Amino acid sequence: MKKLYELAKLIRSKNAGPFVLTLDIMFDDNETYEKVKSTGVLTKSNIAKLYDVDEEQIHQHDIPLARSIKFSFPRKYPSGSFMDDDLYGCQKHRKLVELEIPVD
Amino acid sequence: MAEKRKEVCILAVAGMLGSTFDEKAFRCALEKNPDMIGCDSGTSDSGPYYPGAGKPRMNRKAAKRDLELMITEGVKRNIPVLVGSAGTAGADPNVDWMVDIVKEIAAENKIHFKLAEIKTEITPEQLRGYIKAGKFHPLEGAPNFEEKDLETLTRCISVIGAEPYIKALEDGAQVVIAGRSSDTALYAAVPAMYGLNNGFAWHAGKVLECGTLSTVFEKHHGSMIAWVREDSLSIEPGNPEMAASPTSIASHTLYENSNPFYLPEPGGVMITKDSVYEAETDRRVRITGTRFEKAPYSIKLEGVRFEGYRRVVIAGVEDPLILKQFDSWLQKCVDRAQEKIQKGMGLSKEEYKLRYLVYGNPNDPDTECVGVVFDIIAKNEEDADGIITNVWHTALHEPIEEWTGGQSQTAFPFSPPDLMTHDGGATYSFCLNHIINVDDPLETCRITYYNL
Repeated sequence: MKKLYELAKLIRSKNAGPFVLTLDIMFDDNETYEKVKSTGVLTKSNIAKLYDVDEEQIHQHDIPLARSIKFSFPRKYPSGSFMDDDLYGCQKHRKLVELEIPVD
Repeated sequence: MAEKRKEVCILAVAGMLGSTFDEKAFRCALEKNPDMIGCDSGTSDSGPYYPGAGKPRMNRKAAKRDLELMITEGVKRNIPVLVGSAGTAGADPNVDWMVDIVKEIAAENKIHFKLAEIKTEITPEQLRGYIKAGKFHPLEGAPNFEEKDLETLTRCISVIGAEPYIKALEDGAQVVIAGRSSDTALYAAVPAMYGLNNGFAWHAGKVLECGTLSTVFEKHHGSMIAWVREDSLSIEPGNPEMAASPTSIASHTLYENSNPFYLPEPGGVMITKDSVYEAETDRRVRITGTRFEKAPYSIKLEGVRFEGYRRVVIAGVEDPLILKQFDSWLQKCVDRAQEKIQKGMGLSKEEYKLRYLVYGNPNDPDTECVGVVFDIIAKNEEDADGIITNVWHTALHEPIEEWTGGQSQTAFPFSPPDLMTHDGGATYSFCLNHIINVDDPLETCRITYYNL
């Protein structure tokens, strides 16, 4: 078992415009990238549970050239709106950092 | 009409105007004889305040320093200078602010050139026209917006494409200061003008708009140069000590978007699904395979609504006996404050907004202090001041039963304890994430020329 931060070179979240949050998980080498993908932990279904969003609202993209996995979904509160607590949407990746991934 | 060219060289001086870009990198880049010098000056990342207030999020001196370098070199070498999304929000007052700086630069340096100012705001009445004509459509995640919402729309700014820049250049402008624009279109404009309105022009713009963020290691923030051709594009940083790699460039394509393969722009879609990134040298990357597919012309709208006046209080709470019951104690503070506000000021809960944020975990036995932020928005400043004072004063003296006698519960870091944000706390929200269909790519612009 490893934690995702031990496997990824960068895990980040950011706004894709004020209404959408995008999460990027990026790897240094193809082997780790493929291994993590094959564990089935990073899926729309799990992201939906972690972030309390509807699975149908999540977009997932695998970007092999950048060895990255990207999830995007509408923000619960738009950037800078009264109930928002993270203008840039940049600290929302916290829930991914210590995710347990079943690899050696 | 400009002649067709097989290759056009475009230069981004930085990812953001006013960031004090690396001058050495700029001068190295100039030696490559670029066909345009550009900088993106805006973003919606810093939230609705800047478009709402029409204020810049950059320092005037820093913006002037960057513009002066770009304009003096551009005019001297007869290279057009393009700046998009002026002054952060690209609203009309932001454009005015930047045009003022440009006029100062011209006068102080005794240089003469034709300046084009492109304003991109549309009025609520103009927007009504698009709504009535069925030409107004929501993007994903868009808030609900109907015709009645035009009454509370403070400002609507259109995000223009490449055509207004091309028009200004074809009309002889040497410097263009534009309002809110597609960051990519700002850079695609000159290649498009020379007949290279293809995937490579747009892909170059997509990477260039962030300056050196797409390099392997961003030692200095500054210039990125691209060469756009009919069948490929090459890209490298201006600073010879820095490098772009296929991975660094490919990675950048997924920055700040939800779909890196299909990127809508005014007038079409950039498709990077089949893009191939290769190392041309140890610091230059070559891209092939990117396509630009034309689509019916649509322009994105950014819109903001005035929400009221904000006041904020920050307080530290350290008493462990309070921390053991923190949530219920906070709720008591809020309930009691809201009762007093109703009785003393005649304001019901529905007439203002109140929330609190807690920083730190009161349930962790090792926590010695928890931060709480009370945040309110009211319809006018007098109410805002009254409400926040009620809130912090109530929290200050809200007792817990474990102690007998008068208690003071909140550590405020300064006097007065309450803060306001800029402009008396004027607060805005984004209320549009929509596009409009247009017949003419220039129909949301107002272009004015100045002979300086």
